[in-house]
Amino acid sequence: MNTDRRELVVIGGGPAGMAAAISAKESGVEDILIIDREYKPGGILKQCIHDGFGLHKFKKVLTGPEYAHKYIKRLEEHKIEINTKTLVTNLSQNKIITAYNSSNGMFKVKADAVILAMGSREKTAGAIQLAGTRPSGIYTAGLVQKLINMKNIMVGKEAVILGSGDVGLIMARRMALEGVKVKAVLEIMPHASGLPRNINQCLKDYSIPLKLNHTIVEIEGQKRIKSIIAAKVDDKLRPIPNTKEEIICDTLILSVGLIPENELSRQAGIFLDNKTGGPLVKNNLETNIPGIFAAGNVLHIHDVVDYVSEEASRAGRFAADFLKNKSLSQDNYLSVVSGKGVKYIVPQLVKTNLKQKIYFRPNKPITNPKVVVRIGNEICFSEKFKALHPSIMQKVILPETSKSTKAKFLEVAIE
Amino acid sequence: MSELSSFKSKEKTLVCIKCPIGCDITGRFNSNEVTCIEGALCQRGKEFFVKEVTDPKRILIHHIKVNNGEIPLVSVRSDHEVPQKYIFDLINILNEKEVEAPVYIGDTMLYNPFRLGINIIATKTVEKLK
Amino acid sequence: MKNYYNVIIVGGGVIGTAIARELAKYKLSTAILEKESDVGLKASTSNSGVIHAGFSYPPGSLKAELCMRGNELIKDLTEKLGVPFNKTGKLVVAFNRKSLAKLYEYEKISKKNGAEVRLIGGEEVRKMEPNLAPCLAALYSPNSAIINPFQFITALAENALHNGVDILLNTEVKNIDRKGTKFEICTSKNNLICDYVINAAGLYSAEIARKYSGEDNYKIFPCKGEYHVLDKNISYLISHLIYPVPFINDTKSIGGSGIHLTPTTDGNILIGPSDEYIEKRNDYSTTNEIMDLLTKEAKKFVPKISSKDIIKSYSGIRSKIVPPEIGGYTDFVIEKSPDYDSFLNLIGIESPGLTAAPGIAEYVVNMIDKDLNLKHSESFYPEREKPVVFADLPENEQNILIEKNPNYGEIICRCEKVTRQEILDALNNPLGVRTIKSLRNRTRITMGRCQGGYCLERVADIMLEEGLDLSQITLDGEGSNLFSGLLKGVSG
Repeated sequence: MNTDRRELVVIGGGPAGMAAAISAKESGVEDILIIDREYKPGGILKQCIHDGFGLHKFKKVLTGPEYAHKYIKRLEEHKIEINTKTLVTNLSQNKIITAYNSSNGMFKVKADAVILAMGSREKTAGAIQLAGTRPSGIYTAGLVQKLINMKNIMVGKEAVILGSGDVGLIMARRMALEGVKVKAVLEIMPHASGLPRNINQCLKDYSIPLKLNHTIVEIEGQKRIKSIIAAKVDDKLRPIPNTKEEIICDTLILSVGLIPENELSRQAGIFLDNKTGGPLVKNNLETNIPGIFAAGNVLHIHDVVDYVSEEASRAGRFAADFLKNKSLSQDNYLSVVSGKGVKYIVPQLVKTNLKQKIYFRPNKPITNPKVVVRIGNEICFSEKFKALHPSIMQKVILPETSKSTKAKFLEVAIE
Repeated sequence: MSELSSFKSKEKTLVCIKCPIGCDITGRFNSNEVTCIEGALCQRGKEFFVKEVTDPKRILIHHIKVNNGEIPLVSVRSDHEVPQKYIFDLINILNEKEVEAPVYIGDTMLYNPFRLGINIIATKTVEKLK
Repeated sequence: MKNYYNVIIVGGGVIGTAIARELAKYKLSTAILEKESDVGLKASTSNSGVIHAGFSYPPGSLKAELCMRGNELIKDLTEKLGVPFNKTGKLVVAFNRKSLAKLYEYEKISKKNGAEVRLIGGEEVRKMEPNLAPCLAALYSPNSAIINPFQFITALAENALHNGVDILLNTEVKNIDRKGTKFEICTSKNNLICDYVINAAGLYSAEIARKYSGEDNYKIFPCKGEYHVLDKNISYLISHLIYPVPFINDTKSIGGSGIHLTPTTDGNILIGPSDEYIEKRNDYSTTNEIMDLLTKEAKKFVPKISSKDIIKSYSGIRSKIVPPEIGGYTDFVIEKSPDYDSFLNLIGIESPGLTAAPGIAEYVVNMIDKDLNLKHSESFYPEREKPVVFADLPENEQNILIEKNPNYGEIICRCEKVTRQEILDALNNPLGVRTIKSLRNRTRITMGRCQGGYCLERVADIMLEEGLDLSQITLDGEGSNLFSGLLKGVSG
């Protein structure tokens, strides 16, 4: 079979893929192909019919589809080619992409540069070793969101939601609006992981109980779920005996975390960061394979789509630089290390002779923290914040520093 | 009796959304006043609480059935905030409504329901099924 | 469907279907009565898929004899039926002096029973399995193999059906009466008459034996085995079956296999099974304690394994015939009932039941032959065409298929690369079962790392297109609906 050759292939036509492609086009790349597996671009935004998107980028409060529309229009204006309903099954180290769709069957594309923008998938009941039976009625939140918002299908009548991340909270509200009785949202940690706005507008507005320090120890039901057994947990997150409580439900919705889609990354031999689950990247969002870049949820799980677009736009520019042979040289990179109080940092490799953005999350909520950046043992930057929360990804802009880099690492810590 | 009912007040706790600290603010409120506000570290938080318990407004988010479209539902929202107490009434109206594809983003789906001075508009485009 | 059969088999698991297929070689009318929505939904598809050599059982026992016979027959059978089979070999590993001593004893007993095994040292084990924790020695059994139990049960059933056996699903036995020289079986769906009853009802076999054939000597003690399934990303970690040294009973018979690591024909690794006696025979729940134990045990063999690699956990329930206080080895019970010569009971068919199935089928048919003097059928067709597994085909063959049929170009389950045509074929299977589990067992949809997060709604779309109503989309039959209905509007 003939393998087409393309300059830039963007895998994924969601918010990251669209922003990356547009930015690459605006930076001079002519030949771009976006490949997306859904019927239309927009990615996960198509089913996120709630608002809260675009506050930073457009100074407006938009719904997911409205935010996506802004990018879809620009894609059309730039006449960027997109293959929809097409699934990429393979990415090789030398940037050959294998994809399938029902019109062309299987086809291959050799790309000069690739931007990974496949987003993320949801953690499952199996991945968290949820005990009990496996009847019907157990769903991950994103799947329920798709069924309800895109397919006109309702899953049940009485629901329990495990996980207080934004996806779970949004779904709690959606279920309540659809007339479903939401019995409780259970959260294993002592604090909710979603935004405070969503605690108010998704739970308190609908009198949905939030049970912190709780987990599910058992699922019951033979054919269809009939109840869950919740229990309180101790500070080591282990269930406390004698605190079991049965909650009757016919639906269990899991909102227990997102994982970057790293199947293609693994195939290509891309090094992954086990803290983020996504690829290890340099300042320019390039992975260990020259010409393969990553942005958006595939790189690390974001909470604000505006930052996804920003990150992906940068990836598009850097991919354009790479194609013009203007990319950064391979030497003098420092490893970025998570210091005290920091959960993870992206990018994981930096060059210090440039101004750059570093994204990170704290590992617990903290008020009046100071973020301190050190190269070796010398402080090169610090910034004070009012408060930091694990559910809100933070960025700092490091100025370029001419400090000598005998040191091998750059450390970001919270003090 | 109405004088007595104005003394009866409800208590509510909210997480403030005005800044990343997210204070837990508790207060008491009835039809006349909001009192005993505790937990707010700043004035903006207090103001937020008062507004929330006296006149909460929300953007309505829902969807409407589409016939002969590439997907069966079009997502909609209110173009301005609506008083929270109207949310379920609006939901019920929207649940009964059906539209014919194509529907374009921004199209008005429901004009000035309950004379609230807002419209319900489509937030995505649903093309006709080929 | 008729209402009179020569033979009726109660139970559509791997034993019942193997017997049915064997009976189909003769001029007989046979029916299987299965109370679940599909064949093989219980023990037949919740085991390790291991094909045992048979040397762990006392020579002369039914377990030994029928397991060895099954083992002889299975390679050919899987080829004829298009069932994946892989001779991986097995390592029984000793990590310390105490288990080394037991390993020597195990070797002696195995060799005495006719096994082709040999002891190998830690260094050689290291070369064979570099990711295994350093060990002292291992017993290597080169002939141990794995099979795909899902394809096996489906193939046996489809081939039996093809050869004239009726398979009545969702059909539960309510009563069996003697009527002259025949039996009248009253089921949840109909009344049937037969000459011969074969009770292969697994966890329910002792109850059926007692209620309808005067067999009071047996009781089933359900014994659960939990498993973890690991992500295909780490399937490179082992290539052989990895077992601990088994416990050897006072009677020099070998106890349960213990928690072991099994590569599957699909490329996953299984950890398990555990071993707990339970109260209720339909309690398939997994438990936190055992799931933690499985991970702990797995790490002893392969330290690189962590709970992050687990994509799913499940449990199977064994039909044990002695309680835990007594424990120890028991043999298969395959006997004519006390009340009737033409009522056969198979009770306590636990491991090595899967391997022994073809041997058990022959044995049972021999018993019937002595009574009924069976005549061979000339039209028995022993083969089943291997279903297309698109993901396993080389690219040029994939292209040829897609050219002929664009439904192969649409990948529905992206984790396991299952195409629309494979799902359509599975949905239109000869048994007529149309549930999510029936699709899963035939195509692997929802068995990947995303556990249906991507494909489930697409599969539901296909089912709706193929004529099912939203309310008919179930996990495994009545009561297990996936959805509660349309959100709004009436469909159509």
